[in-house]
Amino acid sequence: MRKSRAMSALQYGWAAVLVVFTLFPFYWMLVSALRGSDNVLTSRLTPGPFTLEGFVNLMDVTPFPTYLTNSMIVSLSLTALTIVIVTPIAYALSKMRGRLGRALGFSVLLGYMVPEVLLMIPIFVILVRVNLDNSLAGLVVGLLSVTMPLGLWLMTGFMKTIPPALEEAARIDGASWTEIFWYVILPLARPGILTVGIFSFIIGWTDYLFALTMIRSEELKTLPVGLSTLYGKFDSSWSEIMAGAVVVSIPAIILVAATARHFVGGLSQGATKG
Amino acid sequence: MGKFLLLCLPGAVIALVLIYVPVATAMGLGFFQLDTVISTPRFTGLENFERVLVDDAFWNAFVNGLVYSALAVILQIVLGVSFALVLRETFKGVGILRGAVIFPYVVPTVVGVLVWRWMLDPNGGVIDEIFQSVGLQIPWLATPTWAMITVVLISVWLWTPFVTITVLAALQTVSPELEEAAHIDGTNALQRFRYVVLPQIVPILLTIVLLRGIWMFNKFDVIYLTTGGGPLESTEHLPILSYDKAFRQFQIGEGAAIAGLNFVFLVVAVVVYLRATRRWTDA
Repeated sequence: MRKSRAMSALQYGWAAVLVVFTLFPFYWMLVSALRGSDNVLTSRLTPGPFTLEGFVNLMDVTPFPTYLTNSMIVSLSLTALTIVIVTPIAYALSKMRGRLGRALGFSVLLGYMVPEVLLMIPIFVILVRVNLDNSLAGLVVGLLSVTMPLGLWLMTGFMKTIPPALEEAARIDGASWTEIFWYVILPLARPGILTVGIFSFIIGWTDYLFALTMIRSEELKTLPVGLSTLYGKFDSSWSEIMAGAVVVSIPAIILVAATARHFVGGLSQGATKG
Repeated sequence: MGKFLLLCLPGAVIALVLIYVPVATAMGLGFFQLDTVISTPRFTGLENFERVLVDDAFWNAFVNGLVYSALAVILQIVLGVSFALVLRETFKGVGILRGAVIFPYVVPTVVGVLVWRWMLDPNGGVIDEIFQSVGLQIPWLATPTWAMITVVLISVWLWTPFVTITVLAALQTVSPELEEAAHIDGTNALQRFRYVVLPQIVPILLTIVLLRGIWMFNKFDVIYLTTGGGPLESTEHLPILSYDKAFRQFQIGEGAAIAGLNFVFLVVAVVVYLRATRRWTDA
């Protein structure tokens, strides 16, 4: 055994710090959400009393259901569009050898390193001019400028790992590029598509800055902006807000739990939010 | 290939418009003045940059950004590495913990900010009450110094998991034989970390510091949602100042100039950093 007993005690202690620091906020979020507005100020550390009042108010009194629908629309269409646009370009990029391919690849990465706030201003100006500001479609278009560079980068790297022998076999059998892409590459690229899809969904689901800037109407707000403006409105207490936070967290946590192995691998290649 | 490229064309056009045009425009907008978003930009040369660079608010935001990102990155690295070292061990429940440790990183920033604001709320927040019960009244968001500490704390909670997970992955490549050999030679755990483990993960750590530094310097939403830049501009950094200028005061040219300078600082810092750390990463 490589660790002495005293060291283990220290490690257990530190593991406890890790658990409390990382998970206590989630625990408290859930406890507060389930206490309802009458008891939310109870500072007893053990859970309870339990009531679903916070969740019920959230759905009945506040515009939370609208935010939820909008976020679903934005995240799902963003995911679909990103995959459809990125996959064929990534394939073409992965076939480009030499300087042009490298330069294109790097410029894609550069787009990813540019701060969001810097992109925000011109995108807003462009969207206002084509009358797409203050609309969910405009928000999706704006967010594509974040998901596409990341998606292209991840997907191109993924395409390069597909063995060329498979394509060559198909070519000898007389398949065209489009057929090869459709019947050979796409099925093999499924894990890559899944990764890009998850990242795109999470970017759409968690985006705050784009929605804050582009959406002005209450009925078009998405979850992060909507939730952040709930405090002090619609008679909502911290219980309703924590109930909202629970609902917003669930899809992200389910997605990650279901695809953890996948996701953690992708994390080291390029992370979604800063 | 021709037909296939045709298939790519629509996407490529969209990519061009949505990636390159905004970047080019963003760089250019600083040289123009726009009275409204739809008015024709008027070329004003370096005027916006001159006005921004003599503004105390700009340098205040610059320094705040440095303090915020330096503190946040250092704490994330220290906590992240130490958590990774614990999670590398095998003990009961470590599998679940390895999965759960990533949660703060994947929930929307707004969730993290709201739950921390609630826990620190002077009116019934649980952490605030714990401190009060031992006689400590902490003005979490009310004074400049504490506001900075609080936004750093929330940022550390949100993004330490990134460091933990990445370092944990890097630790898989550290060979156990070397550590065991060092153990037999009579080293203690601290020495083994310092002389055996650390040198092997230095390249990864340097990359993480770079990525986290870039992200923290550009990060908008934590500070905006927690303090809005206050109190007394004590937590206002360049992204918030740029946003304020462009979308609150409608000085779009000035906002773009600030964002552009922010990007230039970052590029300079990244180049210097890559040069300075080359001797560790080339090996």
